[in-house]
Formats: sequence, C-alpha cells, structure tokens
Amino acid sequence: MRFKIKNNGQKNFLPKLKGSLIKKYGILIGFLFISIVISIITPNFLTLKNILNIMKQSSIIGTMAIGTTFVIIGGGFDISVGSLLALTSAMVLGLQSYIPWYLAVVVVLLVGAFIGFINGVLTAKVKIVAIIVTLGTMTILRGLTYLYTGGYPVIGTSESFQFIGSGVIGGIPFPIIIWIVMVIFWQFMLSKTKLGRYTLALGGNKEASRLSGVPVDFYLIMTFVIGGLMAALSGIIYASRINSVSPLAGQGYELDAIAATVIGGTSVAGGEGTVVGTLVGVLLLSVISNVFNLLGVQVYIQYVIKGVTILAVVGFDSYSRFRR
Amino acid sequence: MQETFIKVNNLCKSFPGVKALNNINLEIKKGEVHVLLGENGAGKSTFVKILSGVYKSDSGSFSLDNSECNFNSPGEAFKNGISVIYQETSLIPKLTVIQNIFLGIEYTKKIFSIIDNKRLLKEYKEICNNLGFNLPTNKTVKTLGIAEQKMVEILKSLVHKAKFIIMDEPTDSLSKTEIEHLFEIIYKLKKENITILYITHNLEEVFKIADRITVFRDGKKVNTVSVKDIRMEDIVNMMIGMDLPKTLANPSSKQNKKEILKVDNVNKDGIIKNVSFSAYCGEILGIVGLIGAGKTELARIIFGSDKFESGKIFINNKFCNIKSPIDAINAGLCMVPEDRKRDGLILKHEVYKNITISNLKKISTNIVLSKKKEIDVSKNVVEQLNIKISSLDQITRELSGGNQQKLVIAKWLIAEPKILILDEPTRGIDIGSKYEVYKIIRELAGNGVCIIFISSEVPEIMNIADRILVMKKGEIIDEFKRGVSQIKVMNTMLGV
Repeated sequence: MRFKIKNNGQKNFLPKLKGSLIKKYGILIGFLFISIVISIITPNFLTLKNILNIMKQSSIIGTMAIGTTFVIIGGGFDISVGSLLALTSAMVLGLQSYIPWYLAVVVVLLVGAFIGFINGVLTAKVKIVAIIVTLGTMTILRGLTYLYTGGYPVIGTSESFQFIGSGVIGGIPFPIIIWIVMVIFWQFMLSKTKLGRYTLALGGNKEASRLSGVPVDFYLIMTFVIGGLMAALSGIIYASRINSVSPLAGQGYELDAIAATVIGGTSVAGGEGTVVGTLVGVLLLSVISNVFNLLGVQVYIQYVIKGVTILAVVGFDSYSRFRR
Repeated sequence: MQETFIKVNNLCKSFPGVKALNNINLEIKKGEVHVLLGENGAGKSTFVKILSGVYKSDSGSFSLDNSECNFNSPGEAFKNGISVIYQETSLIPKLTVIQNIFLGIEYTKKIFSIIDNKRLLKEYKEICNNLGFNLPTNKTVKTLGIAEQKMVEILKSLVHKAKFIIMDEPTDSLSKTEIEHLFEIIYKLKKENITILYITHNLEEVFKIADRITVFRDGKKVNTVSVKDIRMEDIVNMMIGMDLPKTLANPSSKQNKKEILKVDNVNKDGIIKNVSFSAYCGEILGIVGLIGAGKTELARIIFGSDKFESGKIFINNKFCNIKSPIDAINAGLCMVPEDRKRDGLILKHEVYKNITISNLKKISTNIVLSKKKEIDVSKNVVEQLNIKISSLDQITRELSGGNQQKLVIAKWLIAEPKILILDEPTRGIDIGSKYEVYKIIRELAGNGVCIIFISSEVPEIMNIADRILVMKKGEIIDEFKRGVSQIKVMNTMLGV
C-alpha cells in the first residue's frame, strides 16, 4: 500500500490488532465456550431438537431486541416494547373476528410503528428523556391492553394465522426463520445503509452529527419506529404461537431485550453495537436458562443467575474499556 | 540551585502501534515553573497522564520528593499532592465555589457528620489571603468566568495540599487579561514553593513564566534548557526538528471578485447586532475579535445551527433560507466548529466514518454504502491533508489534536463546499499542524473556495487573511485590507 505518513513508520492501513479482535468477538467466543462446556456436562443439550427449541423460544425476545438494539445505538432507550407486545398480540387475535388474519397482521404492524413514532416524537421534538417517555407509553399501552381485552384472555379464530408461530419449513420452525431473516435484514440496514450509519452517528455524538448535516430528529424517531415495528412483529409471533393472549403478556420482556442487547456488545451510551451481537446475547441468555431447566434448577435461582450473568458480561466489557 | 522534586527515570509507554514515550529522563526542581513543549503527538499528554496516575508506565519510574511513586488512579496521585488542571475545567458546575474547593475533604462535626461550614470558610479565607484571591464564595461555579473557574481549580489543589501542579494548556480558553491574571497567580504559587509543570503551545507564554523548558518530540525528550539561554527560534527548531518557513505563501492571486456570500443585517437578541458583510470566491476573509465578541455565534447563525431574529443570507446572489445545517450544506456552505471534540467529531467512531458522514451519497451505490468507495474516498483525503493515522479503522479519540482538526476539515472536503467557515481552527494544535492547516486553507482558496477564518489571535489572522473584519460586542466595527499593521487591528479590537 503506497501511503505517505510522516514520522511514524506504519504504512499498513488495516492492522487488525489482537485486542480489538477479542473486543469485537469476545461475546461470541464466550458464548461458544459456554456452549461447549454445557454440551459436555449436559448430554441432552447438544441435540437438534433442543437447539431448535432454544431458538424457537428465543425468537420472540430476539425479534423484539432487534428494535431495542437500534434504539439504544441511536442513543435512546425503550421500555415500552413489552407492553406494546401485549397490545399488539391481543389486537392481532381480536381483530381476526372482523378482518382476515393477514390484514390484522398489517394493522398491528402499523400500530407498532405508530406507537414507536409517538415515542420518537416525544423524545426528539418534545425533548423528554427517552426512558421517561417510554415509561409513560409503557403504562398507557398496558392500560389500553386491559381496556381492549376487558381483562380476559383473547383467543384467536384463524388457523392459518397459527402457522406464523407454530409452522415448520424444512424442519425449521417458522418463528426462527422470521427471526433470522430479520437479523440479517436489519444488520444489513445497520452496516450498509444511510439509516444505519446515521443511527450510529446520532448515538455517537448528536451535536456533531447535526452539524455534519444529519437530520438527527428524523433518524432518532426512526429508531423508535423500528423499535415499535419489531415489538409488534414479536407480538404477532407470540400471539400466533399460543393463540391466546392475556393482558399480562410480555411483562418484563423489554428488560430481557435490553439485557440481550447490552450483553451483545451494544454500548448503553449509544453509537456502538450490532444486530448480530444482540442475536448472540439473546442466545446466551436462553442457553443459560435452558441448561438450568435441563439440570432441574429452581426457576427462582435462574433469575439470580441471569442477573449475575448480565452484570458479569457487561461489567467485564466496561471495566476493560475503562482501564484502557 | 534548588533540590530535585520530581525525578523521572527511563519512563516508557507504548500504545498499540505507537511508542508514545521513549526513555524519558527528567528532573523538575522544587518551586520552579517547568514548561513542557512539543508538537501534538509528541507525548506530552501521555507523560502528564502517567504522572497523574491515569496511565501506568510500561517501564521506568518516577519519584516525588525522593519517594518512589506508583499510582493506580488519579485519586491516589491527587492525595499525594499531584494535581492537574486541564484545559476543560473539572469542577461541578452546580455546586458553589466552596463546595467545589473542599469536595472530598468536607470537615464534619462529630454528630451526624454535619458539614462544618465555619471551618471551611476560615480555611478558605486563609488561603485566599495568602494568594490575594478574591472570589465570591457562595456563587455556583457555572456562573463564573473561565478564568475564575481556573482559580477555583487552583484553590482546590492547594486546599488538597498539592505540592506539584500540572497545568495542561490552561490559557487556551482565556482572554488576554485573564491570562495575565493567571500568570500572576503562577508567580504567587512559585513564592509558596509550589512546583509547576506547565504545558502549552504558545511560545510567547514560555518566556513570561518559565524557569526551564523541556521539549518532547516523537515520544523522546529533545532537551531541557534554561529559559535564559535560549531564543524562540531555537525552541521551534527543537520542537519540529527543522526550520520553519518564515512567512506563509502569498495571498491567492486567483481572487476573482465574484460575490458568493452576502450577509444582510443579521440580528440575534443583543448577541449579534446589524451584521452585514460580503465574501468572495477564492478569498480568505478573517474575522477577528475578543472572546465573547460574537464571532462563534455569527458563524453558527450563518451555518444554520442557531436561530436568529432578523436578517437575510444570500448565497450566489440568491436568497437562502437557512434553517438548519442541512440547508447550509445543500447550499455549499460548511463549518468547522470551534470545539472539534464536542461538535466536530464522533470520537468513538472510526476515522473513515467521521470523514464520510457529511456526504454518504458520494460513497453509495443506489442506497447501499460501498465499503470500497468509502475506503477510497477517505484514503484520498487523508493523503491529501497528510493526516497521521495508523489505519482508517483507528478510533478518532486516539488521534492528536492537530490530526483531529484536519479530520474535521477532511469531512468537509468530501462535501465539496463553496464556502467554508473555520471557527478557531488552530486552537490547541501544535505549530507544525497549524502551518499545515494554513496551507490547506490557502490551497482551498486557490481553488476558488470562499474561506471565512475566525480567530481571536491577531497575528494568525494577519498572516492568513486577505481581508479582515473586526468584531466587537456583536458588531462588525471595522474592516482592513491585507498588510495593515498588527497594532492597528489590535487597537480596534480592544477599542483603544
């Protein structure tokens, strides 16, 4: 590479350093390591059936967490998506009494995007802190879900609709396919399009982005729209899988989505992160709870372990960053 | 002379790809003002960070008052009497002066740990009297001027029993009177037998305050000399390792008198008053004024990043309704902001991302960003501006100030501006980089770009500008041609 750099002998433009490799793929390496250890101690773990089972269970949080990843990368925060899942899943079943299921799906996706838009406008234009905005909408959406359902579980009427959550194509459950396709699509959007680059820039330094000609408000709103859209999609999968939704659905899902995102290497400060990383984060959490199920560990302890995992992974990451 | 206070032995520190400090040996004597000079990237900041416990050295050691130091954190260094005053203040804006000064050592009464305000006030007054300071005690720090904030920081160090104060470019954001005040404080500190390591880019300051000077270059110590035995030219030579061209290139001859920008009667609530001026293709228009004269505000208004009350902006003789930076950029007007770290760059991102952000269209095929185009475009401009980076993937935070500044300029070169506003583009960067920035600006003007160069340093403006506007209290009060005497501009600026 011919390149003039004065005073320092380096002429190589792409030196991949070991340190940055570990930083970049640390979570993945950790995940694989844990998986190998687990597959040795629990023989039932490494079976195709169990793995597909894990992924199927992960697909709902996984789909939701894609949106969460965008929101956090853009410098925002969204805790309303669990309630949004409840509302959209109740609606997609309830609407089936009036309109065909596929129209219900479209309506619900629009509702998700619209709620995201509201979150975005309140954050970007009214300038309320994102966590407070979504605390508000979280509460409103839960209330709306109760109003919509009257407090009783909603049951779906369309059989074709159930394919989304329970169907299998080529041996692979359909929710997994949706999830993986979404991960690929949004990772592409994040790393290869203006939307993604501006989202990263916005989360990295909002004022510098604005002064570089980035329409920051628009893209901030877009991250919330993606968050809402993905929450609605996860609501659709959720509804379709059990075909019955209680108004309590999705409680705490937003926290799992945030945890997975952060474990997956997205910086809570914004400006850094990948969708694929979040995928690994979701899998890591699922694998851990799966193993405890296989080992017959009490559910209550699982919560503790999950929390410790989050702190350990994220703590290790930020501590090593700080020390640099 | 005096005894040795700080002794540094064979200090080394490397970062991935860079040897930041290479076998540094240095002695600082008790009670002296020791000035550390060097271009950006020479290792000054790394050196300070090791002394103050932010970094650990790879090898070598240093001792303070004959006791070996091995700090694990800045707090530990601070407790041992080493205090650093950075360019940006590290005070807590919402606390009062006293609360800030005694932060960490609040004296408390025995019961319930109630803070003993009387004792604080008494001690505060003692120290103030010693130094001849007079600061309002109960004002919050955010209401103070920057010079006063620096004083608060110095007081804080003293209250915390600092024996060694490191000042990292303390005069960068100060006005002339404020600087003189700071120097007086330094003299007083010297009398109190406090040792000072002073880091600066400004060579004139050196002769006013320094006892001895150490020059770093490329991570190595060039020499330590007494200020009495040296001339300014020698220092410059030591810093850059070569002779500088005495004057800059001649003004661009290509200036055609085509008006490209016209600002007509712009007002903003008392900060900008009835400002009107024109700027032409290929000219470098200097705007000079004291800090607070409204230069930055004017730039931000023209660029659309701040709103204004009345007035019109014309670009190419067409009225241009600039409501946001996007409008400005679309009209071919770009701005290098005053604070590159806060407003100019995304420090946690890679170099190439910062370069291409202003014009993603240029690197896209349809809507997809092309990595290849992006690398090509970035590489090109990095080469053109001679930005020193280890790779295009390097994180921007790791670059030196001069290279960061060039990166902001690189960003706008990609956007192909017709008018480029540069707000204090050489602030806080070393001499070598300064000259390179001047050269780049000259070249741009030579290619017909209209440059608006904002600075509070008169000699700089005299050197670079074809035409000079002087601002004072939000107004343009005079205009000069190239070749005017420096004194005249100074006097106008100061209102003498």
